[in-house]
Amino acid sequence: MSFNFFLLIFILFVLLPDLLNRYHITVRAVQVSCPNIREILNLLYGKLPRYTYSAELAFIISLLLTYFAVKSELSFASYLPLVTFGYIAHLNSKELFDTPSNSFITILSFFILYSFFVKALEFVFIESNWDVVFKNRRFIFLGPYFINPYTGDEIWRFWPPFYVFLVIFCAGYGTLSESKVKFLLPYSIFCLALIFLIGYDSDYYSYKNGMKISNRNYEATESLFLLAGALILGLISYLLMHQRCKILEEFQVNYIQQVLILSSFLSFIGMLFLLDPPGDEGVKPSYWGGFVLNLIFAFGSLVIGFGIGIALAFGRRSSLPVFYVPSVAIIELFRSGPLVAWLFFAQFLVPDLFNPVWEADIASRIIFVFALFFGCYLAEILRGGLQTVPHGQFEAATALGLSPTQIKLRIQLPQAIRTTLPAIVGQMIAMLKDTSLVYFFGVYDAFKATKDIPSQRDFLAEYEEPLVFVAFLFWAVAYYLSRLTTKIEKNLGLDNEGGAGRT
Amino acid sequence: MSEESIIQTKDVTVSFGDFQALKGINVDIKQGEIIVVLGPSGSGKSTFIRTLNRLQPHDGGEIVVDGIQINEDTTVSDLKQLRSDIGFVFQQFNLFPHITVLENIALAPQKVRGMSKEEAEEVAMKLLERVGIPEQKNKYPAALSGGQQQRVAIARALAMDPKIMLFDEPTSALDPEMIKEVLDVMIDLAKRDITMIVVTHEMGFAKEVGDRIMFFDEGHLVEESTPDVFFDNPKEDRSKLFLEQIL
Ligand SMILES: Nc1ncnc2c1ncn2[C@@H]1O[C@H](COP(=O)(O)OP(=O)(O)OP(=O)(O)O)[C@@H](O)[C@H]1O
Ligand SMILES: [Mg+2]
Repeated sequence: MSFNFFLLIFILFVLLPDLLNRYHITVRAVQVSCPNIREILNLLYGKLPRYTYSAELAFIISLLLTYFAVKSELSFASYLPLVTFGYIAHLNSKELFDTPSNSFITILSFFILYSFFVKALEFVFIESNWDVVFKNRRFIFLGPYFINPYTGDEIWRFWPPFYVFLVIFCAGYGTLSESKVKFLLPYSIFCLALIFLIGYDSDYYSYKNGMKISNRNYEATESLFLLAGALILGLISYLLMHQRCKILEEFQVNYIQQVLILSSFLSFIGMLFLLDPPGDEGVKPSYWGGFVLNLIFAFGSLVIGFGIGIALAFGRRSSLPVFYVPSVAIIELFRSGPLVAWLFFAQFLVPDLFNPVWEADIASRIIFVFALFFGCYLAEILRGGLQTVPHGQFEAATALGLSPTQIKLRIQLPQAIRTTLPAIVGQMIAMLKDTSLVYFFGVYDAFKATKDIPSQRDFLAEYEEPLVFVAFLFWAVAYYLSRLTTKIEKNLGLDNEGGAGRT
Repeated sequence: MSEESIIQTKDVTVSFGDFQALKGINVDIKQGEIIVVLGPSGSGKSTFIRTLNRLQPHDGGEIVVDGIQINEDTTVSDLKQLRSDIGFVFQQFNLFPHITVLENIALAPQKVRGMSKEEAEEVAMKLLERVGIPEQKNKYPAALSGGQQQRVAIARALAMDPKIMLFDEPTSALDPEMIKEVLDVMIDLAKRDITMIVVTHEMGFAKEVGDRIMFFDEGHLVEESTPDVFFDNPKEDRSKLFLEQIL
């Protein structure tokens, strides 16, 4: 790589002389020219004008040039980005090159970051063949059953939930009192991505375990119409809600938000019923798959786990051994074992335990284990939150005549959840990522799908790209969730109110 | 003021470990009476009024409030009935921060008295007007000033239509300019037929509206007299000392 060479040159001819010069060490060989880095940069770029955004602009140009350099593989092109990076260095030279050690750190970290970046670009744009991901995109998102030519019609079952969730979701954004651009810009990018993913009809099929994995009978036009309908409805619901929340008072907005959260829970349950209604109709959970399955697992365990967590948290705080002992036992037991062990437990032991009463399929058993696991961690988080609720709250509620249960659910719990929200979301994200463990058990989640793709005839041994893609999916959702909580926290006023401290 | 007793205690004691905070308290409070409880810090004033709705269990003696004997054997429903008939106002307001002012006031009438939401909010609205801040109904407590919060707390207690109101230093956590607005509400309340027990350091209030002063010191009820006697001509040396210190 020419950059290492360049680095060496740089150290020998620029950095070292600079160092020596500053410490008044004269070495015969370099005595002739001992330029200071800042002077050099000033010499090179001093005449260029500065604008408010010149650094940002130069940065974007540098990135583009780097991409060009990587793409074109021309040797001179690899020096071009250095020119613009140099300009950025010149703009910030006061901070970056003020002392010799800072100069050294700047240049070293620049080259480390830069070579990582170049390597990543090479992987993403040159070495990888994203075709494998693109052609298998439906497979990765939905698993084999819904894209099989014979059973793929069942995919309609995802459309109504998609509509409902999108509307709820956009309405939720409408309740955050933010400028429209902050929603509309990401939303349009989201729309374009979806249109591209759904609309681009790549004709492809392959065989896997005798099951045909195909896009062949996939009708893009119909799906596009459905998608467009959903996206427009989402937009409308956002705009209406945004309009409405401007004139509503804070408490009414909070009320709407609670209704939205509740309705998303209900629609989730509705979605499960639509996927597998009682009776012979529908798609059995063992046929569900893909990233959607990971999301279903995560959301389902979230809903059930919340119930478990709340019960355990209060159980643990109870002074009655009947509640206290089992709660502590469950919490300590489940938190001390690795999740994989509990999943194995769900796979092999739970059927034997439950079968006479309830013939649980693998999906429900897995959700059950995730919910328990999540519930135990949540219980500990909530317990911490409950401890921060001032005792005066309990006294005031008691003095009004509220019963202990009413006090717990109406006074203490809401306050505990508010103060521990960041930790709760952190636990949610952890659980979402943990759902990838289910691929050990033959459940067709996103990771199982990616693991099977390299055995397709056309993509033999193409392991990396699907894995990177799925990792990216998980990252994107997790990152999005954590961004969302910061928003919600601001909205709750947690950052300035200081919890319940004032009362 | 009728001659009917509403609160009677006999030899009430409360201990925290080895320390005895109340050392045998005997009172007899008539319906509609305004009692002002005075005493130095740590004398057991708070402990005493907290025993009356069993926020603080007592370990000796007898307490009868509104005909209900309060002790370990009091049934849950009796206790609930009792507490809903006694309003309590705290020094630290203790409003519920996660719900609005209106909801703070309307919560207990719905959950304890079984009122409908509309009814409860109507009651709440009337009380907010009475304490002078109807325009704040949809705010959250944190957005209110201390004086406003305490007035909401009083309204919240009144929403249960209590027979007895207990105040534990309701103005001690307030900035001086806010004390008056809370005292005004209490003075207005005192004119109605409600029994009030007020722990306070506001001597003006004690003189003006108190029917009787109870002076506590070191867990004893040292002196019981009318405000005139207590402030001008106290019977006990310890009362004199106390008055000298604070006046
Ligand atoms: N929960 C408790 N545990 C231990 N000691 C307590 C407790 N509550 C009160 N005490 C003690 O009981 C005594 C009386 O307390 P109390 O709060 O009734 O005093 P007070 O007259 O209300 O004083 P102040 O004017 O400071 O509020 C004090 O010495 C206090 O330290
Ligand atoms: Mg006190």
